[in-house]
Amino acid sequence: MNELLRPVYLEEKLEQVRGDGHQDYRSKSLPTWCPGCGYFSMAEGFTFALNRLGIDCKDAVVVSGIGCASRFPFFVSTYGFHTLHGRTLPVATGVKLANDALTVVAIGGDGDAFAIGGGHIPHAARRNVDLTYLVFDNGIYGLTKGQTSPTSALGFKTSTTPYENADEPLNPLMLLLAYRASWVGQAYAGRQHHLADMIVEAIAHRGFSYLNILSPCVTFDKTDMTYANLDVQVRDLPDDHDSNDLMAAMAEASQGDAPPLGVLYNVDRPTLTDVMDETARRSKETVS
Amino acid sequence: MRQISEQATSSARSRNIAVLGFIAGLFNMPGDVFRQIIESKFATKTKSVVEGASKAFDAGLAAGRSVFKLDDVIVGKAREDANGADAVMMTGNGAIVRGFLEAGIENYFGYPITPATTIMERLAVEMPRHGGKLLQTEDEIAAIAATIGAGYAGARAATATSGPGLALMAEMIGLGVMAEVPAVVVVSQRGGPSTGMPTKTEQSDLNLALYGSSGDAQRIVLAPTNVEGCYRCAGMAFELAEKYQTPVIVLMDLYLSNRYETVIPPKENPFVQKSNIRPSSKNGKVYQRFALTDSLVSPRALPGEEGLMHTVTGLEHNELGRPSDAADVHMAMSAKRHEKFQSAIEYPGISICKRFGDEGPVDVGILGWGSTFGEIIETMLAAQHEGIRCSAMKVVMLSPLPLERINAFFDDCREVLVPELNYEGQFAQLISGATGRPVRRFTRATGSPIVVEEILAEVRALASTTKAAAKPRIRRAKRAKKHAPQTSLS
Repeated sequence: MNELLRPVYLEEKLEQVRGDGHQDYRSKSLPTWCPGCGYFSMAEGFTFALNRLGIDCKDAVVVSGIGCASRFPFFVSTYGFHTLHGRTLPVATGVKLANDALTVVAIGGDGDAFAIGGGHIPHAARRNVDLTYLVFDNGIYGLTKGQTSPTSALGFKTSTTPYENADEPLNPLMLLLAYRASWVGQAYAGRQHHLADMIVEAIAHRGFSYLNILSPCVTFDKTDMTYANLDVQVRDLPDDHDSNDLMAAMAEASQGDAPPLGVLYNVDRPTLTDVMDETARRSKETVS
Repeated sequence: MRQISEQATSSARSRNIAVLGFIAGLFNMPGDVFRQIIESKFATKTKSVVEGASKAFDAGLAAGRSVFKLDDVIVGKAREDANGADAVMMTGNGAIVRGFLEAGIENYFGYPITPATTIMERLAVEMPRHGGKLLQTEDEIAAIAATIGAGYAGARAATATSGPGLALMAEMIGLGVMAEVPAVVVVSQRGGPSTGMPTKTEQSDLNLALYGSSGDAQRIVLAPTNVEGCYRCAGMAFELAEKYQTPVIVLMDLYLSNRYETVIPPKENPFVQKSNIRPSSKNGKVYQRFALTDSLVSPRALPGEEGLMHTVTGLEHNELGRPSDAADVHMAMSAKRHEKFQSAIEYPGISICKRFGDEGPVDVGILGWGSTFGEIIETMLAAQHEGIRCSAMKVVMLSPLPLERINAFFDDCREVLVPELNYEGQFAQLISGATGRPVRRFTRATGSPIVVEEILAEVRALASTTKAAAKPRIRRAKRAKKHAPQTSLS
């Protein structure tokens, strides 16, 4: 029979979804996000990535801050720590140093990351802590019902900027490249399969990996970072992009009007644990 | 000294050794110990150098013994259970480091701040050798955040700071309380508020240590009164933090951090290693991280353990750890977080509070905490010498407060004096609030250690008002006159 003419049965489809194993990483709590929120793609991509990489639920720790994105740990069945606003990265650093065998994923929104938590990012990046930082960037504060964020566009009207946002938005990718993160990439909630692949790559990277995920807030942003707008704006990185070239990555990242999707930068250098192991070795040689 | 040196050795070069001999003589110390030290110190020099130094020392010793006579100075006998080799000279900060290392510290996160910095400096040398990991973070917020993160993952983790750093850490300590994560925070106080007086001592961060955070966020607070206490509190803090799953603050100050004392540490490591209460995963039920048990402490699973996955949060939560703002949940969980460590006031291996001096009813009781207690004991001895019935009590555990024993102390004292190094009388407020009884405050905010003579004047004034009867008063006055020089012990 022609495959296209074959009827689709619900049970058969469910079997297929459950059988592949990634649903095992979802908890029994249903996400509290609004219907249509881009964050559902992240939950799906995250569970897909852990399943693909064969990381057991017990060996993964999700550390989050405060905000819509930071509710994430409740919706997956790994270990989770829902911490304070902006403090995701230092808590995650502590978890990783205490137990190097764990896969540590830090999750936060753009406000959690770049407003209140902005001071911690350079240090986690330059130390090359072996963890993955997923920032769900929707350019708005959703949990507090629609205020401007550090990545909100100029001219964006919100409840705290009723006469238009006058603050120049931050460019997360350029910041992370300048902070010497060893892996920097960008994905878009509207391209779910690419997003899942990027999460796989980010977690697989040994060192600090930063994935910026563009994601519409369907409730509080009807004009700017919408699916309709982003669908047109985003673009793939050129085929010949050299992810070892910091300046090439900077040039791509600087084009904020046409956000590039893919791995902008990827280098290998010693992680914080590597450095500490070396320190331990030297401390035993030094007599004082 | 020049003269003593020249007469003994026909040279002024040995006058430093003569001074050493003079001081030894002044305090009537035995000379043999010093002669041995001189011999070993100059072992590489010629025989004449050793002989010269010994002669200068002997001359100084003789002069010291004859020139002045200090009646009030009594050099106690050496403890019989220890010889000189067991004694260690250390500072409060050095004692914290020793306590941490013996308790098996695994992770330390810190940010430099006077007067706590030397704790981190010493740990930076020692921890890598003992398999520990130390990181200088970008600020105090990151330091406590990483400490909480490591504690969540099961490590013995600590940080140390001073008042301004503690102010930054307050929110994260609240998370530790809410998510029931063990963490140890050493706080060495300095003059405040704000940047204050970084190189001066003060006891003005008590309120911050006790209450600093949002909401009802009681935690365990220990305030050692001497250097040995710093060692014991630092080690025990890990045990308490793990056993009760809560942040523990060890509150000291610049004076205690930097002063040297002779300590005879126990020969055997006194600290219990890793005392987490673990869940049994085999019962097939869904794991409840915050189960309401009889002891109110819930068995804690650590990341990496099969079948016990859960999420902890700073949101109010039910027994599963799921967010909940239901009235009965918040009531039950608030009670859990407060009542679970009330039994800490009976905790073995640490002196929670202790009474010294006269037993039974007394005229004046001096209640103290932290580094000030040394001066308090000296004041008490001087007052007793003057005929004032006096006792002193130190409170080491400031949260939870050993209220029963403090009340018993109040029952015995006609007047209770609370001397402390701050302006507001923070400990006096705590005590009178908790006991509902009046206390006499004696607060000093000079930036320097409290002066015995000043506390003694307060004790005298209180003692004279407590007994109206004339007869004993005259008798005491006579005795006071007789022992007049004693009052200048400071």
